[in-house]
Amino acid sequence: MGERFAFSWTYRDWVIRALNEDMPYDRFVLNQIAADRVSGNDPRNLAALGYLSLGREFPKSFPETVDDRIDVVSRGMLGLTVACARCHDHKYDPIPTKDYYSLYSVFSNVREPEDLPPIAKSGALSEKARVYETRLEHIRQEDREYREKRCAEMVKFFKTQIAEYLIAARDSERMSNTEIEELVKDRQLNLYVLQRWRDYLKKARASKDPVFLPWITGASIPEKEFAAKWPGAYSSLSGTNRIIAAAIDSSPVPSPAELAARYASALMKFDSAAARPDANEEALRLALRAPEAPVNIPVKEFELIYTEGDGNNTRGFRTRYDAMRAMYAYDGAAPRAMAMEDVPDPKIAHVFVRGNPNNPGVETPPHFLTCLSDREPQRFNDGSGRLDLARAIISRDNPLTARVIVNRIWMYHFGAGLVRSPSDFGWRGDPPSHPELLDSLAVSFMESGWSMRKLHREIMLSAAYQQSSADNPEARKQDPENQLIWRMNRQRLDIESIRDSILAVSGQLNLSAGGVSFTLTAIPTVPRRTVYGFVERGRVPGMLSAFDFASPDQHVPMRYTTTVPQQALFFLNSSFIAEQAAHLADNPETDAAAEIRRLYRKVFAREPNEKELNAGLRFLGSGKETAPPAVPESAWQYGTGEFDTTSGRVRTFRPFRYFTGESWQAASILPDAAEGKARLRVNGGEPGDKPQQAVVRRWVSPTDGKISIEGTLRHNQSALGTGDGVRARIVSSRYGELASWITDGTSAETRLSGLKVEKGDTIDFVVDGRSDTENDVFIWAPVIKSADAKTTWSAAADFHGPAPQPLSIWARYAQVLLQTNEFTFVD
Amino acid sequence: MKSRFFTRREMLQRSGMGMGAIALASMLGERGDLQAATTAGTGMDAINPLAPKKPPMPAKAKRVLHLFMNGGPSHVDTFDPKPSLSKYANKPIPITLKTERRTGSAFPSPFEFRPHGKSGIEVSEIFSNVGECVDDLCIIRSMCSDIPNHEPSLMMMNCGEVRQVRPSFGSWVTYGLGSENQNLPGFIVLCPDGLPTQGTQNWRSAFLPGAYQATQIDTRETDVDKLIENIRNRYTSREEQRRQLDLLSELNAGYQERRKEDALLEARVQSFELAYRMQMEADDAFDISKEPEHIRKMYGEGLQARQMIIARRLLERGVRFVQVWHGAGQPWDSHDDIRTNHGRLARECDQPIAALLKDLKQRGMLEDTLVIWGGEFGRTPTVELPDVGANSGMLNGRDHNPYGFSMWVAGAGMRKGYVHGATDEFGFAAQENKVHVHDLHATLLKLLGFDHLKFTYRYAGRDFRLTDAHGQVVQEVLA
Repeated sequence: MGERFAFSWTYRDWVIRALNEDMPYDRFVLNQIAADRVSGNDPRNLAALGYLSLGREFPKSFPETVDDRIDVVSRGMLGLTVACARCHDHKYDPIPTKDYYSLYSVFSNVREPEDLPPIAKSGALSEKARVYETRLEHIRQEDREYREKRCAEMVKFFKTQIAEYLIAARDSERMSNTEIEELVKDRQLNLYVLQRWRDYLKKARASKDPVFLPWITGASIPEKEFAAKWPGAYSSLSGTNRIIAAAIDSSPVPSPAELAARYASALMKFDSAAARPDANEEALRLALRAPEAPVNIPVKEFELIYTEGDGNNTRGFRTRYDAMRAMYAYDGAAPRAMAMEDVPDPKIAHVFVRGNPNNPGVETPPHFLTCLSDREPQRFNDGSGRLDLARAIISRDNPLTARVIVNRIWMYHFGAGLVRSPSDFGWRGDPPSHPELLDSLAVSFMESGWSMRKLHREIMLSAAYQQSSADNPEARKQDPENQLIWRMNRQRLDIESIRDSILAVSGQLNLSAGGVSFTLTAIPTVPRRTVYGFVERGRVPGMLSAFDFASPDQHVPMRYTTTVPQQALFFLNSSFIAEQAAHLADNPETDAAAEIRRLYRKVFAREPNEKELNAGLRFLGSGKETAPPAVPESAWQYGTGEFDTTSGRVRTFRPFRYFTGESWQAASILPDAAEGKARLRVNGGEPGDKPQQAVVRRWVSPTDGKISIEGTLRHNQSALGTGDGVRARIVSSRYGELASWITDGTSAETRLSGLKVEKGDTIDFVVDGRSDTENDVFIWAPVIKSADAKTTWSAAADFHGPAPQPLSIWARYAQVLLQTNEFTFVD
Repeated sequence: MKSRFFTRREMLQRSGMGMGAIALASMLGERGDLQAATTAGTGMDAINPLAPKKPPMPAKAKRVLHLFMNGGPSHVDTFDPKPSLSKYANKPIPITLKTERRTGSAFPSPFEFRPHGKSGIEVSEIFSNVGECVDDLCIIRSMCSDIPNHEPSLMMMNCGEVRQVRPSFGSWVTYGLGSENQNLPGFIVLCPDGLPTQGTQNWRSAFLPGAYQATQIDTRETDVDKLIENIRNRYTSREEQRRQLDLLSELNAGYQERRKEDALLEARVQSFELAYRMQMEADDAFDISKEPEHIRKMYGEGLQARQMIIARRLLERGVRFVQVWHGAGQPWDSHDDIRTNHGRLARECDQPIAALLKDLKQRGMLEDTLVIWGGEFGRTPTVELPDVGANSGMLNGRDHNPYGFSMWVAGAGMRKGYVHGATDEFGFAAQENKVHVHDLHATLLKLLGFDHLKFTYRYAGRDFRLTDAHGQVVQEVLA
């Protein structure tokens, strides 16, 4: 099913709603940076925070995640390349590294909340919702219990290493952070636990702690001189904890290692859950049991001490939870915002010298960019500082924000901006071609209350905008790039507009707005607007990437316009274009000329001229209804059904409607309201949750005779051992159930032979998920052979989408109209 | 009405370029007559980003074939013999460097090394076929990278940066040189059965235009439909499609009459003709049954043989950059059982790779093709110790090692039968003439006609290079 954010679509819907309602641009920006910090805000606006939360994830490198946030805000909203100041001061613009790390202080103190906030009131939970909620809570519960159990075990373990940590604390006294990291690795200790010991001992020294003072004293003596100096140093101490004193006094202490060992055994002696009445004993107990005790790691800090295996397991819970939540989000969950929140205790970042996080420089409290502040920039004080930052960006005094957005909107109208580097207004960017115009538009934009709609009107009512794109050779000679806007630029539609326009003229376009995404590659086409198509970051659909779609990995100032043959292949051969051409011409007028005129009005909103009409008539007249290479009818069908144990037959076979290019399923994106996550792929599939949603790969016998069946059914155990495997059956329409197998992390050979079939008989390969329906992906691609072994029907080799329907001559003509330059370019 | 379809001969005449170079941009006449068609500020040809371009400096190499042994092949078991490991067998060695996991004492290679060719360079028995070609190889035994984990090291080898989003080497090369064949993608990645670790990030174009991103092809597939999207029409016969295109040309000609100055319109017209021919060409390029029997025999059986033949057919057709991955995930990552695992992996690809080298040579293509072999790093000369959940608890594997490893490069301007650099006595770290991945990139770019310091792309306010702020051309490996 691919990986997906559960509620990314709520951000997309928020942007569309904001634009439709003409939300003032300053509010638009404010919400995307800090909707959660604006008091009295409409909860729906929390979805705006997707701007920050939906960027590329760098799971192993937090600084990259923060860098992405800094970059999208600074380039996207201010047209400043602040990210260039990450390793050194900006080479061209007045942006010191310190400014970068001030913003780092803002965006590193932001996190995803434990529970994503709902953005609409939800009524009572449906039955389906309750199932999801229970499962989600169940996974959380398992995760919690796992953490509690393992954390307790780790704490117990760290208690066996008291002496090691004491020695390590002593040895690392004067070490740099990097050296400490190495020491920890060499001795196989935990960095965080050592850190706690060091902090604890530091405090103990300051408070002259009666328990640890002797240790601290001993630890300060160089190892070689220990035997000589220790007795004197120790005897000068007073007030030592009675039990510690007894442990030390029992026999001479020759080395720091021995001293550490005495501490370890003394401490462990009084390690109990219950408090002790004796004050000296209680002090020892607290050194291991108090909240600040070095070994007493609270569960919420488990991730700082866990092992590689724990990491895999907790990530496993997280992945499972996210997958379940994503499934739920697409299956009727009340919409939630991909919100962000400030961490409760924001930490001030420091400069990473040369960009290296292990090389800390000066502290950089959160504040706005120096070059955009009047005097010394004021420190942000509200939480992470996002709200203050947003306010500084949308301040009327900020010279960039309005110019940057005005330039972008101009660019979308004209095909080129007044500043041709729309996300770089710095020295290395392009200077504006019409600076006064840009200023004037920016000022009137702010004065209009930051209304984007009014700005569109102002631009579109201008004489510049209303020019034609006709050529003027003299002007072209002087200004070939049309920087001076002596004509309108001819523009090619972007892929979203091309797809939407084709759907519009074919009469298929479905204008319903919002909600979960659909799969762009599905056959038959889901005729919704392209903006609602699902884009998986790691696998952008070929249709989009061939047409210069923006990279989903980073901020993209503008799209490229390239012309590559893959674009033409889409217009020539895709199922999308064939489908739409067929729709466009599905009810031709009887008079050919009249039909050509009708199509011209539909596709180009004009009448054809004489030449075009004749060209069309010639094409239609000489056409042969030649069919493409015949595709043999497939013996296989794909769908869901329920195995009826009483009759031993498959009840109600329901064929899947959509083919995504990889699988057959009931909806273009899963889960489907009726059929759940059921789907069939080339070599296997996944059943739905309910018994009625068993997947059925049906073979319809094209002949009479005897057949044999081979194949291997396989189910892989998940890393967490979830689920109870799948049950597979082979069911004949003539004889009922022939065989069944259960696999749970195992495999089974599925062989039958000497089976008699008649033409039209069906053999169903039925798989259900048994009672626990987590982790039910299976592999099973059976092969059927005729008794003489001459004919083979292989589920894998024969697997493909719906059989193509040859296009009528009218559809082929209509397809050509959709392919023309006139359709793709706007004058 | 004269058809706008050009024959291949006409195309070549009009393009005025060498065989196979049916460049679009050049068909469009002198640039001065046209509306400037560069994407603002990038200097890139916006009409056809893959039109062949001349590099700024004289070049020895015209195309690149990168054989990626993903997972990290062990150099001390392949191209860097270390007899000292036997002396120290089961004893600690005096060098310890931090790798991903803990390793213990010296672990001698379970494989024999033998001298090959005139140069007498020693190669492990598991690559004895490649060994036969050793006089054509330049083996670099002093490679080094930065981080002992797969993900950052893959990014370093492919994109020259461990974490941040940067274009891949192949994207840079196709950006700089375009491609010689407009009927096929200019940068193609072959990988059987799925994606390697880090997936499409290994060949992304990042901030370069999407046209420079590789087209990834699962070489397990034999159906050309699955290889290139929309390459086959399943609705209309080819003759009817030809008639459609003729009508399209006629309608477009009418539209263009009043818009002659706009090069993009003509470019789009021609892209339909290119696409039409691409349907035939793609069928041909991927159909290895067209190879004569003796050639197929030479490559041997199996998937690796299949993908090496496809790689050669693509290079032959003018594809600029082909990267061949051993398999999905990270197959060469032998934390355990190095003898069995490395033995099997090498058995799969040794003969096909040797055949490919010989085949390129006999066709005269090795002279201007760079063939690169290697992984993202090497492996430790010490044995990996068992750890909770880390390996299967066997003492017969090796951990990751970025401090020193081997790669070899053959063809186009590389020294032949030569070993460059050396690791320490045990093979833990590069010691003599260290070659960092950045240096390798700089050197390869030089052979392709680029000064890595000047080959830049302006993005987000700065000029980016493949080698970022690093890299030095390794003069000694140049012929």
